[in-house]
Amino acid sequence: MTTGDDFTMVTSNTTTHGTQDEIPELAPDVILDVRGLKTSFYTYEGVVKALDGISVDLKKGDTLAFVGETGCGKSVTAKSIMRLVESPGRIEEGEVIFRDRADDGSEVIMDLLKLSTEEMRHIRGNRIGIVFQDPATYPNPVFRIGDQIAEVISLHQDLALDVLRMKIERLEAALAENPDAPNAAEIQEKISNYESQLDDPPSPSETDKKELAKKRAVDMLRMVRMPTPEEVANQYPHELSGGMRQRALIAMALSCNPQILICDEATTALDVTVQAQVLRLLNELKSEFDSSIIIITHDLGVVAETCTKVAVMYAGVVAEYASTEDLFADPLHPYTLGLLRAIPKLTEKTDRLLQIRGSVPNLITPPTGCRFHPRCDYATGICKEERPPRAEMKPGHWVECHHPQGSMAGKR
Amino acid sequence: MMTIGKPLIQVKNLKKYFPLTGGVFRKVLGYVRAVDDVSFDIIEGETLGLVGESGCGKTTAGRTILRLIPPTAGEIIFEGRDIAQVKRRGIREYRRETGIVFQDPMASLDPRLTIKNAVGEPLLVNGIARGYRLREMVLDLLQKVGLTEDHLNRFPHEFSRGQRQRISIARALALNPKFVVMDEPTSSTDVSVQAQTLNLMKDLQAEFELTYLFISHNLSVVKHMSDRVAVMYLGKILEMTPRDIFEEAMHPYSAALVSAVPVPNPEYRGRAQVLAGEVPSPINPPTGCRFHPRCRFAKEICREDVPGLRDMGEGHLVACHFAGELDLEYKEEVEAAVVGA
Repeated sequence: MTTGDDFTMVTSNTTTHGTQDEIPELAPDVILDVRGLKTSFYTYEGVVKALDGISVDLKKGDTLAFVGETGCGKSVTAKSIMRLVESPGRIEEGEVIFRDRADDGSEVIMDLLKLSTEEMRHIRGNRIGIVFQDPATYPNPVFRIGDQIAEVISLHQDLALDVLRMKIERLEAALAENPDAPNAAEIQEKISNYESQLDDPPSPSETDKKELAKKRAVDMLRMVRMPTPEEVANQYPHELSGGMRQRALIAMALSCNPQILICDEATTALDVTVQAQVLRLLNELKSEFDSSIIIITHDLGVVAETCTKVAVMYAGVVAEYASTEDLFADPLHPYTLGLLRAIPKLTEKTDRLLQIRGSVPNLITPPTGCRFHPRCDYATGICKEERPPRAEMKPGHWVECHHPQGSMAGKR
Repeated sequence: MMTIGKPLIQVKNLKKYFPLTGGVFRKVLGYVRAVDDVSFDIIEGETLGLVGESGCGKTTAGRTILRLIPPTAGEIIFEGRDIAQVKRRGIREYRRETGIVFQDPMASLDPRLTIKNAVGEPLLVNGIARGYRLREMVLDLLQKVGLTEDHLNRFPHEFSRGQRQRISIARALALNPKFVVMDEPTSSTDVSVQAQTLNLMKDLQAEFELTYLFISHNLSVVKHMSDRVAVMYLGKILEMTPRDIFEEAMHPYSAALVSAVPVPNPEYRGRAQVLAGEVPSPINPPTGCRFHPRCRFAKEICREDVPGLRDMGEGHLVACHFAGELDLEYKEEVEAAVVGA
């Protein structure tokens, strides 16, 4: 667990952002803008170009999905945003512009890729939370659920003021219960003493901080609709079912009231009925916490159910980026079209599924030009030679394709 | 869609309990009732889909029917014989008529056997072919699943997931079986590969006149593949229907399950009936109807009597005391009323 000294050092850094040379520009309603992000992995077999120029933005209050098949780079995108790419991976190029809203309401715009490690640590888990895929491996098995959430809270939040309030409340409660106690005057004096410190709270003792953080952890567990939050806080991860564990992880990720919550395949390991519970919870929490969500999934059903924006990824490229309604009603990229036709649908009976021929390419030697061209039914000479530019074919509907289909067929 | 044909396999009151042991002497403390009194027929040439959440007993049911594990009680009638009672030789004969494709193709193929040996093994063991003839037969099988002569002498690690699953299918079909259990064959593959595998399985079914038991947790895939769908919950079949489960689910659990599947079309957004709580333990299943603690229609009788499967017309079987009387459409006020009470 952490010490108080660590904590004060981190907070003092946030106001300055010394490493930031110039303030990047950002449209007013956008809180995260990924521009031309490239990430590669340097393996013995060669350089895996996992992300080859990703550009998407996340507006406030939106739920953005990164959807695609295994190895398309959707998880690497999340890890690059959080700067969690591990060796031999390296973020090569690009910007991740983030609008940070401080506790006092002031806003700072920064490029996450240019922050120092210390500054990034203040963002990670605090301003941007993440929930990973496998709830069986993520919570630390040897700590109680409540303690793990409390750790996040006491690490990232300045609890001085709240500890003071807690003390006042406690004394007032004691006084209210027993107003004729012999030391009533003493208590009254203590209360007024604490109240005078409210403007400039002293740094709290470890025990007080721990107690408050634990209390907050229980509140968080209640937030994620745990049936018995006090009990769950004292349990170890193995005592919970998969769905409960995933909810505990969501509670942990939300405990610092982040502006963005990233869910990396957060419901993939769950059964459909439990998945429905978790997805509904995420949607409710998004409005309660006034944050935005990034969902990483391979399931287009989950996208249609929960997301407002979709980025369809293929082999390290965002093939298509649009609002959910637009994408499902009018898919423009041949890959999106192929994916939608390849899924068996619960709502209709089809005899045969249309399949995309071939298989996902190796990213050490990706296909030239458009990375999808060897599997594409509409590919021509140009697709082999030139990478298609990222173009806005309809308002808010971006495609990387020389021959878009759907309503834009033949328009290019 | 399909006419009721003659049953290939009749399962009657099948039970499979796994003992829970503890202590120095491995004393039996209780049983996991993985499959608890299940009866159904599998019609020749059809695909019966078996769907349910993890731990509902669908895989155990599939394995017990193939006699890969011995049943605790019940009958499995195949071509006039009760497979549940047969001994070694009978089992070996039965296995010649059946095949299985497992979920994880990364684990179900021996990494030290070449593809030729893996697919040829059942032919060799049963003395059907050897030498040059064996190679011919294996090559023929591989070509049926879309692989070529080059692949014969390669090892499993040289193949992708989709290709390995095809190799498993070729191996399952080597003895020209009548009945194949597909146990979650595509749940570890991506959608584009899944489409290829599902199409291949349909083609092979038509070519070899196979009967499938298709087990999956993915309702959309099950619906796509199956002529009839059976819904399992806590070791029991709650509903079995040749009708469209999406349109005409009659059991409250099936309706909730169907509604929880996210459909890749934003128009269907927000129709999930979220079930309260979690699946109870199969060690101490609820009395009466297994689903009653989570059912919003549950009445006194549901707590006491186990409902049997009742035919609601056209072979649509439902195990619910109030089948056909319930309005399963999701309504917020109904849910609120039930939760409030």
